[in-house]
Amino acid sequence: MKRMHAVLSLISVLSILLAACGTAVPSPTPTQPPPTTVPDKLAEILDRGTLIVSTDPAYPPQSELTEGATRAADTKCAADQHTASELAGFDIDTAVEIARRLGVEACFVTPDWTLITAGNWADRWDISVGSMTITPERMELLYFTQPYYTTPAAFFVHEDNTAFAQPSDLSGRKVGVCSGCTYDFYLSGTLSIPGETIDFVVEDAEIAGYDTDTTALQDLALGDGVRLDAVLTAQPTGQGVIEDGLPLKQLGDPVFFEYLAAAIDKAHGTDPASFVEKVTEIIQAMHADGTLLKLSQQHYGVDLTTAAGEFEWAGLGQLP
Amino acid sequence: MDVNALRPFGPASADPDLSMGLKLLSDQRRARLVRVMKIVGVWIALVTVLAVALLQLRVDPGYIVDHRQIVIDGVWVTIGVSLISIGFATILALLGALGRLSRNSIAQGISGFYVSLVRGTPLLIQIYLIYSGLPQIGKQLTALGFPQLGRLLVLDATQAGILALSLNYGAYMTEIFRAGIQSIGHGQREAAEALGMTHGQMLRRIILPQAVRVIIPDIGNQFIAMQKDSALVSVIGIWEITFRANRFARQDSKFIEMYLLAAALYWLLTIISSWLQSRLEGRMAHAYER
Amino acid sequence: MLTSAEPIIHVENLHKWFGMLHVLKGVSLAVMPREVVVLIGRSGSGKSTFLRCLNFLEEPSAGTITIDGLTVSAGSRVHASRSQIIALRLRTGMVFQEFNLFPHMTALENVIEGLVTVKRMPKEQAMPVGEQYLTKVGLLDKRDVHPIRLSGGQKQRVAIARALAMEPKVMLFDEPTSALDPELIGEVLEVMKQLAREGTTMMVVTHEMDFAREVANRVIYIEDGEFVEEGSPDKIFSNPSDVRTRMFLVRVLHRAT
Repeated sequence: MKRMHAVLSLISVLSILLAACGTAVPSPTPTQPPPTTVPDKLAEILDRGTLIVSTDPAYPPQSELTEGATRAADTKCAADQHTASELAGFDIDTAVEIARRLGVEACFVTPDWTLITAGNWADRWDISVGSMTITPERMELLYFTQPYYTTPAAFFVHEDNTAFAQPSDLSGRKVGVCSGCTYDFYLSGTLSIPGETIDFVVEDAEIAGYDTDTTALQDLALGDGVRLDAVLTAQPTGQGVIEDGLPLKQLGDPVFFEYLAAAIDKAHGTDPASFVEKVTEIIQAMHADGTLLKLSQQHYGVDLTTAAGEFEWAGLGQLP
Repeated sequence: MDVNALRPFGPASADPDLSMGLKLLSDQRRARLVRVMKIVGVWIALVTVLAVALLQLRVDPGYIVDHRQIVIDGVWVTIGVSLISIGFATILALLGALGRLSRNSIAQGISGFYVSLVRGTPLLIQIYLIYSGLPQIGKQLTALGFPQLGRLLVLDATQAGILALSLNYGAYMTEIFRAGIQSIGHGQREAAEALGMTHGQMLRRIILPQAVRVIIPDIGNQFIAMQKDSALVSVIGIWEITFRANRFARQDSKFIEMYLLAAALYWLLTIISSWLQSRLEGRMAHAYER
Repeated sequence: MLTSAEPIIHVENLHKWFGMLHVLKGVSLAVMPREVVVLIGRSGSGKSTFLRCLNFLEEPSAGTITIDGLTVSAGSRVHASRSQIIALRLRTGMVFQEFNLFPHMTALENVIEGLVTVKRMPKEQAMPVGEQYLTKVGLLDKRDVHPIRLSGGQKQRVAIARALAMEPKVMLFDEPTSALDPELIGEVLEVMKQLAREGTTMMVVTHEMDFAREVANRVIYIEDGEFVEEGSPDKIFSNPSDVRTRMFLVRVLHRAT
């Protein structure tokens, strides 16, 4: 009986693998249009009265948990969604403001970052306001709005280090990054950001992937060269942990700038085009009337938004 | 030799064997006490070593005390997810065990496949697959004209987490339940059959009431294990203990502090669950012996 | 000794294979009501298998079993149905070598289990019946005791009461005393002799020759799956016709005939 079991299991695994290979073509598009009981995504959101936003509260000061928060009694958010009072940060404030201008309440869900960038959200949430960098690869799965701020990407080393004077000195060294983030692609030499030419100054770095930037920074803080020689991450993130007391310092100037925007699933069940346009419109207005500038000053102490406001969104050519 | 001359010290007694017996008893009690003290001593030493090691981590205990609530709030989520999942897992395990023991080829085939598949893949991957994969299948179903069924497959994080944990533990518990059922002597089944019982009657009246003595302790053990495994569902964003500890730690980069708090909470949960389980087992044994 | 013309057990051409081993080779038997038949033979001769075929605990490979008018056939093309088998089992009561009492129930609960679960008798109705049969085997005072606290002889007597409570047409005994300490055998045999005196139809596989002498109407010697010789106890024990029977008795009884 045990032998039969082993044989059966082996055959099953092989056939499942074969089936997976057989469908190498991505899921076929439906032959009929999606059920249209609501005209489109924007109408669905306005009708529902809530804007469901995904965020990963692992990124102070963009997104973090607040202690001792209580849900408002009259919230429209579902039981497994969190209200604005339970979270805090630049991304959170931006999302709340966007929702307010749409005339709805902001509700938050917290899936893993990889699940957000992968698209195919199955309409579990409407929008990601999570400091996502606009890249061509992501544009295949997601629509991006007008960027709401920019982040310089910078290298950080242990404060005891004296060997490196500038980023190019890190060629061939071990650098920690958040896996699947733009910093990962930069080190691999594959990063492309619309509207920017990128200078890959570090060659052949030994890339160490982490689930988030902060974990990588923690490893760097263990000591110069103990686990890592350097970490590439958003400048505000690195500055943040230095202020918390980690023994790190920035190495040289930022190596590239990212445009960070809100993202919307292309695979939404209802047509998201008007939703994308409406949010873009709102963000552009928030740039124009100084709301984003004020939030930037409040959370970062510097203006990270002006360049984002000047970004030529239509040039992305996402919507016909 | 006079028997009285052999009498050991102790209360004067007409029966020399009785006082020897009493002395032996008190010697045994003392020896047992010494053993227990030694074990307690070892525990104290180990806890001290652990505490000293922890102090080397430059931990800020005050931070833990000040910010404990946000992680403690996750305890109810952890318990809730674990309880519901163990409930479903038990049902699955009963069905699975009966299937594995069944003479019906279909039942045997399904249960065997289920156990092999689920025990052969990591729980973390199962969680991801259920959360991310099911909705995609649901999409296809909707496209093929079954919108209700398609929507049913889009589980939110909590539902997906419970489903993954239930399926996973159900497979492992299947094998334990099966062994428990099989441990009931063959002869009893024959006696039941000779009386004219159907398989269902035999199961209900003879097998399961006895198998319960193996099954209940196992459910308790699995529940204790599941509380820790439930930490894995933090990756799909359920706000249980680990998620809260992990995310909150990033604010002030106080990772060790928050992880220690989380670990202590899990340990506490385990201790309480184990104590409840041993009380339950005690009452079961008592009822049986009556 | 015997009454009525129709056999209450009728076995025709019974075959049983275990894999390649031909354990029962086309045996046939007719047992009249109130008859006590004792089967003797060495281990592996097929005597227990024969008995267990009577209530389909072993499914025969071929042949027919008729008990009290119900005929069930077995064979490669004929499969006895669940309901037929259960009907057959309701006509028989079996007592096992290893007692096989249900350990999680008291003696009384064991005795009434068949009545309550299989015959769906209400518990209040079943209990007096159970007490009656426990009294019959002399164990009413043990009604609320669990099997784990009973001696071997007591357990077997409870097992007999359990089988009797279902009021079967025939009682089957599969080496009922073989697992007992010698000083406990007597109490069980006493109960069995009592049953024989009352006219119960019994089919007993045993090594207890004195028991056979005292109450058996017929003794059958089985060897290698065949009924070698059958006759009254006097005949078989004192003057067996077949040399194989003689050889067996010499070995078992240490007695030349």
